Amino acid sequence: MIELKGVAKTFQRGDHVVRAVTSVDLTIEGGEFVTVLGPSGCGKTTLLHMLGGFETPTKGTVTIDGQVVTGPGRDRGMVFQDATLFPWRTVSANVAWPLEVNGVPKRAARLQSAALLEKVGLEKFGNAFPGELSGGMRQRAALARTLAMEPSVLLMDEPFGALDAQTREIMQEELMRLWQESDLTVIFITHDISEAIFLGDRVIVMGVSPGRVIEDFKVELDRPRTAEARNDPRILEYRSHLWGLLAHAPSSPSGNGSQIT
Amino acid sequence: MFGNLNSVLRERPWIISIGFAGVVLALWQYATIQSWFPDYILGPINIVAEFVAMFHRGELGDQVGASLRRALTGFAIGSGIGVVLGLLAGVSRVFRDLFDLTQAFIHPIPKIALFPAIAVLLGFTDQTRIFIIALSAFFPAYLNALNGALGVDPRMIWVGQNAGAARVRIFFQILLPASLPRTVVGLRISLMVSFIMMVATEVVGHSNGLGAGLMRAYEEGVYGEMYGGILAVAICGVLSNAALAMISRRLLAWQAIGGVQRG
Ligand SMILES: Nc1ncnc2c1ncn2[C@@H]1O[C@H](COP(=O)(O)OP(=O)(O)OP(=O)(O)O)[C@@H](O)[C@H]1O
Ligand SMILES: [Mg+2]
Repeated sequence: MIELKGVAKTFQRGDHVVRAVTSVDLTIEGGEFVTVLGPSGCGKTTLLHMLGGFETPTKGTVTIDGQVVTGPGRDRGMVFQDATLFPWRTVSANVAWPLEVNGVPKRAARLQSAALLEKVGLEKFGNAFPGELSGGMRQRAALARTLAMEPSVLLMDEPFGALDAQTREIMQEELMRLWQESDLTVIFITHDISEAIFLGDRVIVMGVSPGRVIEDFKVELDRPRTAEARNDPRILEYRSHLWGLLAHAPSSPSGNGSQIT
Repeated sequence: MFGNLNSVLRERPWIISIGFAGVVLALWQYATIQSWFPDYILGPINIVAEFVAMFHRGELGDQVGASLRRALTGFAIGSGIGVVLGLLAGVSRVFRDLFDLTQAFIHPIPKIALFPAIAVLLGFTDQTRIFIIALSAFFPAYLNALNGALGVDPRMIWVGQNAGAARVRIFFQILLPASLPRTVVGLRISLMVSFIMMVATEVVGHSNGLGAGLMRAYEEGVYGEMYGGILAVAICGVLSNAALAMISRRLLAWQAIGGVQRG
Protein backbone atom coordinates (compact mmCIF):
# COMPACT_ATOMS: atom_id res chain seq x y z
CA MET A 1 0.00 0.00 0.00
CA ILE A 2 1.27 3.44 -0.95
CA GLU A 3 0.31 6.36 1.23
CA LEU A 4 0.86 10.04 0.63
CA LYS A 5 0.19 12.31 3.58
CA GLY A 6 0.16 16.06 3.08
CA VAL A 7 2.76 15.79 0.34
CA ALA A 8 3.90 19.12 -1.08
CA LYS A 9 6.81 20.18 -3.24
CA THR A 10 8.03 23.67 -3.99
CA PHE A 11 10.83 24.68 -6.32
CA GLN A 12 12.87 27.83 -6.09
CA ARG A 13 13.05 29.47 -9.49
CA GLY A 14 15.10 32.66 -9.36
CA ASP A 15 13.50 34.70 -6.59
CA HIS A 16 10.04 33.21 -6.74
CA VAL A 17 8.71 29.96 -5.40
CA VAL A 18 6.89 27.49 -7.67
CA ARG A 19 4.33 25.44 -5.80
CA ALA A 20 4.49 22.35 -8.02
CA VAL A 21 2.44 20.12 -5.72
CA THR A 22 0.42 21.22 -2.68
CA SER A 23 -0.84 18.98 0.04
CA VAL A 24 -1.71 15.72 -1.65
CA ASP A 25 -3.33 12.96 0.43
CA LEU A 26 -3.68 9.68 -1.39
CA THR A 27 -3.84 5.98 -0.66
CA ILE A 28 -3.12 3.43 -3.36
CA GLU A 29 -3.71 -0.26 -2.68
CA GLY A 30 -1.27 -2.92 -3.83
CA GLY A 31 -2.15 -4.19 -7.30
CA GLU A 32 -4.19 -1.13 -8.22
CA PHE A 33 -3.94 0.56 -11.62
CA VAL A 34 -4.16 4.30 -11.04
CA THR A 35 -4.07 6.83 -13.83
CA VAL A 36 -3.25 10.48 -13.24
CA LEU A 37 -4.72 13.10 -15.54
CA GLY A 38 -4.16 16.83 -15.59
CA PRO A 39 -3.10 19.84 -17.62
CA SER A 40 0.53 20.56 -18.36
CA GLY A 41 2.47 21.88 -15.39
CA CYS A 42 0.08 20.64 -12.69
CA GLY A 43 2.80 18.64 -10.96
CA LYS A 44 2.15 15.12 -12.27
CA THR A 45 5.80 14.40 -13.00
CA THR A 46 6.88 15.97 -9.71
CA LEU A 47 4.44 13.75 -7.83
CA LEU A 48 5.73 10.64 -9.57
CA HIS A 49 9.36 11.63 -8.92
CA MET A 50 8.54 11.85 -5.22
CA LEU A 51 6.92 8.42 -5.28
CA GLY A 52 10.06 7.10 -6.97
CA GLY A 53 12.23 8.72 -4.31
CA PHE A 54 14.10 10.83 -6.85
CA GLU A 55 12.86 14.02 -5.29
CA THR A 56 12.10 14.67 -1.64
CA PRO A 57 8.82 16.27 -0.64
CA THR A 58 9.15 19.73 0.87
CA LYS A 59 6.33 18.75 3.24
CA GLY A 60 4.57 15.51 4.10
CA THR A 61 5.60 11.90 3.71
CA VAL A 62 5.37 9.10 1.18
CA THR A 63 5.21 5.63 2.70
CA ILE A 64 5.15 2.23 1.04
CA ASP A 65 3.85 -0.61 3.20
CA GLY A 66 4.51 1.55 6.21
CA GLN A 67 8.10 2.38 5.23
CA VAL A 68 8.91 6.04 4.59
CA VAL A 69 10.41 6.55 1.12
CA THR A 70 13.83 8.16 1.46
CA GLY A 71 15.30 7.38 -1.94
CA PRO A 72 14.95 5.37 -5.13
CA GLY A 73 14.68 1.59 -5.02
CA ARG A 74 14.18 -1.35 -7.35
CA ASP A 75 10.75 -1.98 -5.83
CA ARG A 76 9.53 1.15 -7.63
CA GLY A 77 10.45 1.04 -11.30
CA MET A 78 10.27 4.37 -13.10
CA VAL A 79 9.67 4.98 -16.79
CA PHE A 80 10.59 8.63 -17.27
CA GLN A 81 8.65 11.13 -19.35
CA ASP A 82 10.89 10.96 -22.38
CA ALA A 83 12.77 7.73 -22.53
CA THR A 84 16.09 8.01 -20.76
CA LEU A 85 17.85 5.13 -22.47
CA PHE A 86 21.64 5.18 -22.44
CA PRO A 87 22.45 6.24 -26.02
CA TRP A 88 25.89 4.61 -25.85
CA ARG A 89 24.47 1.14 -25.24
CA THR A 90 22.50 -0.99 -27.64
CA VAL A 91 18.84 -1.55 -26.84
CA SER A 92 19.49 -5.03 -25.49
CA ALA A 93 22.45 -3.81 -23.41
CA ASN A 94 20.19 -1.10 -22.00
CA VAL A 95 17.61 -3.65 -20.91
CA ALA A 96 20.33 -5.92 -19.53
CA TRP A 97 21.86 -3.15 -17.45
CA PRO A 98 19.69 -3.42 -14.30
CA LEU A 99 20.29 -7.16 -14.38
CA GLU A 100 24.07 -6.68 -14.54
CA VAL A 101 23.80 -4.29 -11.62
CA ASN A 102 22.19 -7.12 -9.70
CA GLY A 103 25.09 -9.44 -10.49
CA VAL A 104 23.40 -11.49 -13.20
CA PRO A 105 26.19 -12.79 -15.49
CA LYS A 106 26.36 -11.05 -18.89
CA ARG A 107 25.11 -13.98 -20.95
CA ALA A 108 22.14 -14.71 -18.73
CA ALA A 109 21.36 -10.99 -18.65
CA ARG A 110 21.32 -10.85 -22.46
CA LEU A 111 18.95 -13.82 -22.61
CA GLN A 112 16.56 -12.25 -20.13
CA SER A 113 16.82 -8.96 -21.97
CA ALA A 114 15.84 -10.70 -25.22
CA ALA A 115 12.75 -12.13 -23.52
CA LEU A 116 11.80 -8.69 -22.17
CA LEU A 117 12.26 -7.10 -25.59
CA GLU A 118 9.94 -9.68 -27.03
CA LYS A 119 7.37 -8.77 -24.41
CA VAL A 120 7.35 -5.15 -25.66
CA GLY A 121 7.56 -6.15 -29.34
CA LEU A 122 11.13 -5.04 -29.94
CA GLU A 123 12.76 -8.43 -30.43
CA LYS A 124 14.18 -7.31 -33.79
CA PHE A 125 15.84 -4.21 -32.38
CA GLY A 126 18.13 -5.59 -29.68
CA ASN A 127 21.25 -4.66 -31.61
CA ALA A 128 20.08 -1.19 -32.54
CA PHE A 129 21.20 1.90 -30.68
CA PRO A 130 18.50 4.09 -29.07
CA GLY A 131 19.29 6.78 -31.64
CA GLU A 132 18.02 4.46 -34.35
CA LEU A 133 14.59 3.94 -32.75
CA SER A 134 11.43 6.01 -33.08
CA GLY A 135 10.16 7.83 -30.01
CA GLY A 136 7.55 5.17 -29.32
CA MET A 137 10.04 2.35 -29.67
CA ARG A 138 12.36 4.08 -27.22
CA GLN A 139 9.52 4.27 -24.72
CA ARG A 140 8.90 0.56 -25.08
CA ALA A 141 12.60 -0.20 -24.66
CA ALA A 142 12.64 1.96 -21.53
CA LEU A 143 9.63 0.02 -20.22
CA ALA A 144 11.50 -3.25 -20.84
CA ARG A 145 14.53 -1.90 -18.97
CA THR A 146 12.34 -0.94 -16.03
CA LEU A 147 10.61 -4.33 -16.02
CA ALA A 148 14.07 -5.93 -15.82
CA MET A 149 14.24 -4.62 -12.24
CA GLU A 150 11.16 -6.67 -11.39
CA PRO A 151 9.53 -3.81 -9.51
CA SER A 152 6.34 -4.24 -7.53
CA VAL A 153 5.26 -0.69 -8.36
CA LEU A 154 5.51 0.64 -11.90
CA LEU A 155 5.65 4.43 -12.23
CA MET A 156 4.97 5.54 -15.79
CA ASP A 157 5.17 9.14 -16.96
CA GLU A 158 3.21 9.60 -20.20
CA PRO A 159 4.81 6.50 -21.70
CA PHE A 160 2.57 6.40 -24.76
CA GLY A 161 2.49 10.12 -25.46
CA ALA A 162 4.73 9.79 -28.50
CA LEU A 163 2.84 6.95 -30.14
CA ASP A 164 0.42 7.11 -33.06
CA ALA A 165 -3.19 6.34 -32.16
CA GLN A 166 -3.12 2.76 -33.38
CA THR A 167 0.17 1.69 -31.77
CA ARG A 168 -1.00 3.45 -28.67
CA GLU A 169 -4.12 1.30 -28.38
CA ILE A 170 -2.09 -1.83 -28.98
CA MET A 171 0.39 -0.81 -26.29
CA GLN A 172 -2.43 -0.02 -23.86
CA GLU A 173 -3.85 -3.49 -24.36
CA GLU A 174 -0.40 -5.03 -23.97
CA LEU A 175 0.17 -3.13 -20.74
CA MET A 176 -3.27 -4.16 -19.53
CA ARG A 177 -2.46 -7.80 -20.20
CA LEU A 178 0.95 -7.50 -18.57
CA TRP A 179 -0.57 -5.94 -15.47
CA GLN A 180 -3.41 -8.43 -15.27
CA GLU A 181 -0.94 -11.33 -15.39
CA SER A 182 1.13 -9.82 -12.59
CA ASP A 183 0.50 -8.28 -9.21
CA LEU A 184 2.05 -4.96 -10.24
CA THR A 185 0.77 -1.70 -8.86
CA VAL A 186 0.80 0.84 -11.69
CA ILE A 187 0.69 4.62 -11.45
CA PHE A 188 0.32 5.95 -14.94
CA ILE A 189 0.39 9.59 -16.00
CA THR A 190 -1.35 10.64 -19.18
CA HIS A 191 -2.82 13.60 -21.02
CA ASP A 192 -5.33 11.39 -22.75
CA ILE A 193 -8.78 11.12 -21.14
CA SER A 194 -9.73 7.91 -22.97
CA GLU A 195 -6.42 6.32 -22.03
CA ALA A 196 -6.92 7.27 -18.39
CA ILE A 197 -10.38 5.67 -18.36
CA PHE A 198 -9.51 2.54 -20.33
CA LEU A 199 -6.46 1.70 -18.21
CA GLY A 200 -7.37 2.91 -14.75
CA ASP A 201 -9.20 1.35 -11.82
CA ARG A 202 -9.10 4.87 -10.62
CA VAL A 203 -8.53 8.22 -12.27
CA ILE A 204 -6.90 10.98 -10.28
CA VAL A 205 -7.37 14.41 -11.78
CA MET A 206 -4.96 17.17 -10.89
CA GLY A 207 -5.42 20.92 -11.23
CA VAL A 208 -2.85 23.59 -11.78
CA SER A 209 -1.44 26.63 -9.91
CA PRO A 210 -1.03 25.37 -7.38
CA GLY A 211 -0.72 21.71 -8.38
CA ARG A 212 -3.26 19.65 -6.43
CA VAL A 213 -5.68 16.74 -6.66
CA ILE A 214 -9.15 17.91 -7.70
CA GLU A 215 -10.83 14.57 -8.30
CA ASP A 216 -10.26 10.93 -7.45
CA PHE A 217 -12.81 8.58 -8.94
CA LYS A 218 -13.38 4.90 -9.58
CA VAL A 219 -13.76 3.48 -13.07
CA GLU A 220 -16.37 0.73 -12.92
CA LEU A 221 -15.49 -0.99 -16.20
CA ASP A 222 -15.19 -4.79 -16.00
CA ARG A 223 -11.94 -6.58 -15.33
CA PRO A 224 -10.19 -8.21 -17.05
CA ARG A 225 -10.41 -5.41 -19.57
CA THR A 226 -9.82 -6.10 -23.24
CA ALA A 227 -10.26 -4.06 -26.40
CA GLU A 228 -14.06 -4.64 -26.09
CA ALA A 229 -14.16 -2.37 -23.07
CA ARG A 230 -13.54 0.58 -25.38
CA ASN A 231 -17.14 0.29 -26.59
CA ASP A 232 -18.64 0.33 -23.12
CA PRO A 233 -21.30 3.09 -23.00
CA ARG A 234 -20.15 4.17 -19.53
CA ILE A 235 -16.95 5.46 -21.11
CA LEU A 236 -18.88 8.35 -22.69
CA GLU A 237 -20.23 9.33 -19.29
CA TYR A 238 -16.77 9.24 -17.72
CA ARG A 239 -15.37 11.22 -20.60
CA SER A 240 -17.82 14.05 -20.30
CA HIS A 241 -17.38 14.14 -16.52
CA LEU A 242 -13.59 14.41 -16.88
CA TRP A 243 -13.89 16.91 -19.73
CA GLY A 244 -15.98 19.08 -17.47
CA LEU A 245 -13.41 18.95 -14.69
CA LEU A 246 -10.48 19.72 -16.96
CA ALA A 247 -12.25 22.44 -18.88
CA HIS A 248 -12.94 24.28 -15.64
CA ALA A 249 -9.47 23.76 -14.26
CA PRO A 250 -7.45 26.88 -14.99
CA SER A 251 -4.64 26.10 -17.41
CA SER A 252 -1.05 26.75 -16.56
CA PRO A 253 0.39 30.08 -17.69
CA SER A 254 3.78 28.37 -17.98
CA GLY A 255 2.36 25.24 -19.54
CA ASN A 256 3.90 24.01 -22.74
CA GLY A 257 0.58 23.90 -24.49
CA SER A 258 0.12 20.14 -24.35
CA GLN A 259 -3.40 19.26 -25.37
CA ILE A 260 -5.96 17.37 -23.38
CA THR A 261 -7.46 14.95 -25.86
CA MET B 1 32.48 25.23 -67.30
CA PHE B 2 32.86 26.84 -63.87
CA GLY B 3 29.74 25.05 -62.74
CA ASN B 4 31.47 21.80 -63.58
CA LEU B 5 34.58 22.81 -61.62
CA ASN B 6 32.41 23.80 -58.67
CA SER B 7 30.72 20.45 -58.47
CA VAL B 8 34.08 18.63 -58.72
CA LEU B 9 35.37 20.72 -55.81
CA ARG B 10 32.24 20.15 -53.75
CA GLU B 11 32.63 16.41 -54.04
CA ARG B 12 36.35 16.48 -53.27
CA PRO B 13 36.90 19.33 -50.81
CA TRP B 14 40.42 18.09 -50.02
CA ILE B 15 41.52 19.27 -53.45
CA ILE B 16 41.21 22.81 -52.15
CA SER B 17 43.18 22.26 -48.93
CA ILE B 18 45.93 20.23 -50.61
CA GLY B 19 46.04 22.64 -53.51
CA PHE B 20 46.40 25.65 -51.23
CA ALA B 21 49.15 24.03 -49.17
CA GLY B 22 50.91 23.03 -52.39
CA VAL B 23 50.82 26.57 -53.76
CA VAL B 24 52.20 28.02 -50.51
CA LEU B 25 55.02 25.45 -50.38
CA ALA B 26 55.89 26.00 -54.05
CA LEU B 27 56.03 29.78 -53.56
CA TRP B 28 58.19 29.30 -50.49
CA GLN B 29 60.59 27.01 -52.36
CA TYR B 30 60.70 29.41 -55.31
CA ALA B 31 61.47 32.32 -52.99
CA THR B 32 64.40 30.48 -51.39
CA ILE B 33 65.78 29.48 -54.78
CA GLN B 34 65.57 33.11 -55.88
CA SER B 35 67.29 34.04 -52.57
CA TRP B 36 64.52 36.41 -51.60
CA PHE B 37 64.96 35.31 -47.99
CA PRO B 38 68.15 35.40 -45.92
CA ASP B 39 69.97 32.08 -46.32
CA TYR B 40 69.22 30.80 -42.80
CA ILE B 41 65.67 30.26 -43.99
CA LEU B 42 65.51 26.93 -45.80
CA GLY B 43 63.02 25.88 -48.43
CA PRO B 44 60.60 23.02 -47.75
CA ILE B 45 62.49 20.54 -49.93
CA ASN B 46 65.75 21.27 -48.08
CA ILE B 47 63.97 20.89 -44.73
CA VAL B 48 62.58 17.51 -45.69
CA ALA B 49 66.03 16.45 -46.93
CA GLU B 50 67.55 17.56 -43.62
CA PHE B 51 64.81 15.73 -41.73
CA VAL B 52 65.51 12.51 -43.65
CA ALA B 53 69.25 12.83 -43.05
CA MET B 54 68.71 13.31 -39.29
CA PHE B 55 66.41 10.34 -39.30
CA HIS B 56 69.09 8.16 -40.93
CA ARG B 57 71.75 9.35 -38.49
CA GLY B 58 69.48 8.02 -35.74
CA GLU B 59 69.47 11.15 -33.62
CA LEU B 60 65.83 11.93 -34.44
CA GLY B 61 64.57 8.60 -33.15
CA ASP B 62 66.20 9.17 -29.75
CA GLN B 63 64.87 12.71 -29.51
CA VAL B 64 61.36 11.73 -30.53
CA GLY B 65 61.35 8.82 -28.08
CA ALA B 66 62.42 10.96 -25.12
CA SER B 67 60.03 13.76 -26.00
CA LEU B 68 57.00 11.59 -26.66
CA ARG B 69 57.51 9.71 -23.41
CA ARG B 70 57.54 13.01 -21.52
CA ALA B 71 54.58 14.54 -23.35
CA LEU B 72 52.38 11.46 -23.16
CA THR B 73 53.21 10.69 -19.51
CA GLY B 74 52.40 14.26 -18.53
CA PHE B 75 49.28 14.20 -20.65
CA ALA B 76 48.06 10.90 -19.20
CA ILE B 77 48.60 11.95 -15.58
CA GLY B 78 47.29 15.51 -15.95
CA SER B 79 44.27 14.82 -18.10
CA GLY B 80 43.42 11.61 -16.21
CA ILE B 81 43.24 13.45 -12.90
CA GLY B 82 41.50 16.34 -14.65
CA VAL B 83 38.72 14.17 -16.04
CA VAL B 84 38.08 12.38 -12.73
CA LEU B 85 38.04 15.57 -10.66
CA GLY B 86 36.02 17.39 -13.31
CA LEU B 87 33.31 14.73 -13.37
CA LEU B 88 33.22 14.61 -9.56
CA ALA B 89 32.90 18.39 -9.41
CA GLY B 90 30.14 18.16 -12.01
CA VAL B 91 27.95 15.92 -9.90
CA SER B 92 28.85 17.01 -6.40
CA ARG B 93 28.37 20.45 -5.03
CA VAL B 94 30.95 19.72 -2.32
CA PHE B 95 33.66 18.81 -4.81
CA ARG B 96 32.78 21.77 -6.99
CA ASP B 97 33.14 24.21 -4.10
CA LEU B 98 36.29 22.42 -2.97
CA PHE B 99 38.14 22.83 -6.27
CA ASP B 100 36.63 25.99 -7.61
CA LEU B 101 38.74 28.67 -5.96
CA THR B 102 42.05 26.79 -6.23
CA GLN B 103 41.33 26.03 -9.84
CA ALA B 104 40.43 29.64 -10.62
CA PHE B 105 43.72 30.83 -9.10
CA ILE B 106 46.06 28.39 -10.77
CA HIS B 107 44.40 28.25 -14.17
CA PRO B 108 45.41 31.72 -15.42
CA ILE B 109 49.10 31.24 -14.47
CA PRO B 110 51.11 30.30 -17.56
CA LYS B 111 52.43 26.99 -16.25
CA ILE B 112 55.88 27.59 -17.74
CA ALA B 113 56.23 30.43 -15.24
CA LEU B 114 56.17 27.77 -12.51
CA PHE B 115 59.07 25.93 -14.07
CA PRO B 116 61.81 27.62 -12.00
CA ALA B 117 59.77 27.26 -8.83
CA ILE B 118 59.27 23.55 -9.37
CA ALA B 119 62.90 23.20 -10.46
CA VAL B 120 63.99 24.53 -7.05
CA LEU B 121 62.24 21.53 -5.56
CA LEU B 122 62.95 18.82 -8.10
CA GLY B 123 65.82 20.28 -10.13
CA PHE B 124 65.82 20.61 -13.93
CA THR B 125 64.79 16.99 -14.16
CA ASP B 126 62.34 14.89 -16.04
CA GLN B 127 60.00 14.95 -13.03
CA THR B 128 59.83 18.72 -13.18
CA ARG B 129 59.11 18.68 -16.89
CA ILE B 130 56.46 16.02 -16.60
CA PHE B 131 54.92 17.84 -13.66
CA ILE B 132 54.64 21.06 -15.67
CA ILE B 133 53.18 19.19 -18.66
CA ALA B 134 50.69 17.38 -16.43
CA LEU B 135 49.64 20.60 -14.72
CA SER B 136 49.03 22.24 -18.10
CA ALA B 137 47.13 19.22 -19.41
CA PHE B 138 44.98 19.15 -16.28
CA PHE B 139 42.96 22.31 -16.89
CA PRO B 140 41.38 21.75 -20.31
CA ALA B 141 40.51 18.20 -19.23
CA TYR B 142 39.09 19.33 -15.89
CA LEU B 143 37.01 22.20 -17.23
CA ASN B 144 35.52 20.26 -20.12
CA ALA B 145 34.73 17.19 -18.04
CA LEU B 146 33.10 19.48 -15.47
CA ASN B 147 30.92 21.10 -18.11
CA GLY B 148 30.16 17.73 -19.64
CA ALA B 149 28.99 16.39 -16.30
CA LEU B 150 26.93 19.50 -15.57
CA GLY B 151 25.12 18.95 -18.86
CA VAL B 152 24.12 15.36 -18.09
CA ASP B 153 20.37 14.89 -17.67
CA PRO B 154 19.96 14.14 -13.93
CA ARG B 155 17.42 11.48 -14.86
CA MET B 156 20.24 9.43 -16.42
CA ILE B 157 21.76 9.25 -12.94
CA TRP B 158 18.33 8.51 -11.46
CA VAL B 159 17.99 5.49 -13.73
CA GLY B 160 21.17 4.19 -12.12
CA GLN B 161 19.91 4.90 -8.60
CA ASN B 162 16.58 3.31 -9.46
CA ALA B 163 18.40 0.10 -10.35
CA GLY B 164 20.28 0.29 -7.06
CA ALA B 165 23.69 0.70 -8.70
CA ALA B 166 26.65 1.62 -6.51
CA ARG B 167 28.14 5.10 -6.87
CA VAL B 168 31.29 3.79 -8.56
CA ARG B 169 29.22 1.99 -11.16
CA ILE B 170 27.08 5.06 -11.79
CA PHE B 171 30.27 7.10 -12.17
CA PHE B 172 31.91 4.82 -14.72
CA GLN B 173 28.89 3.42 -16.53
CA ILE B 174 26.61 6.45 -16.67
CA LEU B 175 28.32 9.72 -15.81
CA LEU B 176 31.52 9.04 -17.74
CA PRO B 177 29.93 7.93 -21.04
CA ALA B 178 27.20 10.56 -20.80
CA SER B 179 29.75 13.36 -20.53
CA LEU B 180 32.22 11.78 -22.94
CA PRO B 181 31.46 13.94 -26.01
CA ARG B 182 32.47 17.04 -24.09
CA THR B 183 35.27 15.33 -22.16
CA VAL B 184 36.93 14.26 -25.39
CA VAL B 185 37.05 17.88 -26.56
CA GLY B 186 39.00 18.64 -23.39
CA LEU B 187 41.37 15.73 -23.95
CA ARG B 188 42.23 16.93 -27.43
CA ILE B 189 43.06 20.39 -26.15
CA SER B 190 45.08 18.83 -23.31
CA LEU B 191 47.10 16.80 -25.78
CA MET B 192 47.99 19.86 -27.85
CA VAL B 193 48.92 21.76 -24.71
CA SER B 194 51.10 18.82 -23.65
CA PHE B 195 53.08 19.08 -26.87
CA ILE B 196 53.54 22.81 -26.47
CA MET B 197 54.74 22.34 -22.90
CA MET B 198 56.95 19.46 -23.95
CA VAL B 199 58.97 21.72 -26.25
CA ALA B 200 58.84 24.64 -23.82
CA THR B 201 60.23 22.63 -20.91
CA GLU B 202 62.88 20.90 -23.01
CA VAL B 203 64.60 24.05 -24.20
CA VAL B 204 65.49 24.98 -20.59
CA GLY B 205 68.08 23.18 -18.46
CA HIS B 206 70.05 20.18 -19.64
CA SER B 207 67.50 18.04 -21.34
CA ASN B 208 67.30 15.64 -24.20
CA GLY B 209 64.41 15.41 -26.64
CA LEU B 210 63.18 17.48 -29.56
CA GLY B 211 63.04 20.81 -27.74
CA ALA B 212 66.64 20.41 -26.54
CA GLY B 213 67.70 19.42 -30.05
CA LEU B 214 66.13 22.57 -31.44
CA MET B 215 67.91 24.73 -28.89
CA ARG B 216 71.26 23.09 -29.54
CA ALA B 217 70.85 23.50 -33.30
CA TYR B 218 70.09 27.17 -32.74
CA GLU B 219 73.12 27.69 -30.52
CA GLU B 220 75.44 25.89 -32.89
CA GLY B 221 73.96 27.66 -35.88
CA VAL B 222 72.98 24.46 -37.71
CA TYR B 223 69.67 25.79 -38.95
CA GLY B 224 68.92 22.79 -41.11
CA GLU B 225 68.72 20.60 -38.02
CA MET B 226 66.58 23.20 -36.33
CA TYR B 227 64.00 23.06 -39.10
CA GLY B 228 64.24 19.29 -39.24
CA GLY B 229 63.45 19.24 -35.50
CA ILE B 230 60.50 21.58 -35.92
CA LEU B 231 59.13 19.32 -38.64
CA ALA B 232 59.53 16.34 -36.28
CA VAL B 233 57.60 18.16 -33.52
CA ALA B 234 54.84 18.97 -36.00
CA ILE B 235 54.63 15.39 -37.24
CA CYS B 236 54.47 14.03 -33.65
CA GLY B 237 51.69 16.48 -32.82
CA VAL B 238 49.66 15.69 -35.92
CA LEU B 239 50.02 11.92 -35.48
CA SER B 240 49.12 11.95 -31.76
CA ASN B 241 46.14 14.16 -32.45
CA ALA B 242 45.03 11.86 -35.25
CA ALA B 243 45.40 8.83 -32.97
CA LEU B 244 43.32 10.47 -30.25
CA ALA B 245 40.73 11.55 -32.81
CA MET B 246 40.49 7.98 -34.05
CA ILE B 247 40.07 6.57 -30.54
CA SER B 248 37.39 9.11 -29.68
CA ARG B 249 35.53 8.44 -32.93
CA ARG B 250 35.34 4.79 -31.94
CA LEU B 251 34.26 5.58 -28.38
CA LEU B 252 31.64 8.01 -29.63
CA ALA B 253 30.41 5.92 -32.55
CA TRP B 254 26.96 5.80 -30.89
CA GLN B 255 26.77 9.57 -31.16
CA ALA B 256 26.82 9.52 -34.93
CA ILE B 257 23.68 7.37 -34.90
CA GLY B 258 20.45 9.35 -35.05
CA GLY B 259 20.03 11.99 -32.32
CA VAL B 260 23.11 14.13 -32.10
CA GLN B 261 24.71 15.31 -35.31
CA ARG B 262 28.42 15.87 -35.47
CA GLY B 263 29.67 18.88 -37.41
N1 LIG C 1 13.43 21.12 -11.12
C1 LIG C 1 12.51 22.10 -11.19
N2 LIG C 1 12.85 23.37 -10.90
C2 LIG C 1 11.93 24.36 -10.96
N3 LIG C 1 10.64 24.18 -11.27
C3 LIG C 1 10.24 22.94 -11.57
C4 LIG C 1 11.15 21.83 -11.55
N4 LIG C 1 10.45 20.72 -11.89
C5 LIG C 1 9.19 21.12 -12.11
N5 LIG C 1 9.04 22.44 -11.91
C6 LIG C 1 7.81 23.22 -12.03
O1 LIG C 1 6.81 22.55 -11.29
C7 LIG C 1 5.58 22.57 -12.00
C8 LIG C 1 5.08 21.17 -12.20
O2 LIG C 1 5.96 20.51 -13.11
P1 LIG C 1 5.71 19.01 -13.58
O3 LIG C 1 6.84 18.66 -14.48
O4 LIG C 1 5.51 18.16 -12.39
O5 LIG C 1 4.36 19.14 -14.42
P2 LIG C 1 3.59 18.05 -15.26
O6 LIG C 1 2.22 17.99 -14.73
O7 LIG C 1 4.36 16.80 -15.31
O8 LIG C 1 3.56 18.71 -16.71
P3 LIG C 1 3.58 18.01 -18.15
O9 LIG C 1 2.23 17.43 -18.36
O10 LIG C 1 3.86 19.13 -19.09
O11 LIG C 1 4.66 16.98 -18.12
C9 LIG C 1 5.81 23.34 -13.28
O12 LIG C 1 5.41 24.67 -13.08
C10 LIG C 1 7.30 23.25 -13.46
O13 LIG C 1 7.77 24.39 -14.15
MG1 LIG D 1 5.30 15.72 -16.78
